[in-house]
Amino acid sequence: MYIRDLNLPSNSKEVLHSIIMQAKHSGYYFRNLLDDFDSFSITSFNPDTGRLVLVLKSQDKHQLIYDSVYLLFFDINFAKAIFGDNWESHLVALAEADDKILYLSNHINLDNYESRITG
Amino acid sequence: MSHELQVEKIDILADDCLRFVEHYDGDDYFGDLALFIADKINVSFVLIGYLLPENNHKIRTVVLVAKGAIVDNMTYSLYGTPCENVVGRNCCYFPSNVKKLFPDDKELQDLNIESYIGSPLFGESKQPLGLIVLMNETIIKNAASVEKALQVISTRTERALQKYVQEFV
Repeated sequence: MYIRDLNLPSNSKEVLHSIIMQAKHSGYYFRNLLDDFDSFSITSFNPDTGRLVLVLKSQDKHQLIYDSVYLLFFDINFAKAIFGDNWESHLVALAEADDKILYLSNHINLDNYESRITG
Repeated sequence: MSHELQVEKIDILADDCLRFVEHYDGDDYFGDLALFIADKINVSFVLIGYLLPENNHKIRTVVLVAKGAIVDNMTYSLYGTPCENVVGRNCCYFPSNVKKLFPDDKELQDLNIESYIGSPLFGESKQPLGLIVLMNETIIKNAASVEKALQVISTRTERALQKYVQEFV
């Protein structure tokens, strides 16, 4: 099941946006455009697999569609960016978690990464 | 486990792998490397493969180790497999439930795979080249240690794979 950004529960949307901002802030390399991306929107999200499709937008209005495939839950570099040194134990727990968004919201400090939500 | 012990374990595995790739002078690098990794990390399946030049969504293995022995090579499509997010991208770790996440991946089902770590391999101009994959019927533990080990072996393995593709594909 895919959930369109606009239909995401607001708390899930905030969690996802904050996580993406945190990953960017921590140096996660989204390839190409995202080094200087200014805003983004979530095109779709699969809560079971973590597949997340983003439209990234740079200050000069360039756009890039970024299909993570399994970005959130299984990409080691992404996990390092959002969990830090304890990424391995978090990925093990996350793989077993029924509600992955809830797990993420309970284990990541989301307050520091406000995002510009455009979706 | 204390932090010091964890760091020490990471270093031991990476050091062992580094010694293997630096000093290897045999004539079956891929085969011996895959057997070495399977033994050191205690996983049932190891594969090293390259992206088919004529079809960049298919992988052809240069070695496939299953339960301690080298078996016949195979070609498979990346679609619907955990490798899809590895080739040309990043190292991925599926600690458990991988066969449930990829129901269309027949090999995962047939081999009863629960856990997966895959690491991308790149060519000399940083183009996607292939990957190295470790799979097991139970959780692959010490993923941080394994990831470090895969990083250590990647440079020589990329060179060897690039050479193989240029000469034989």
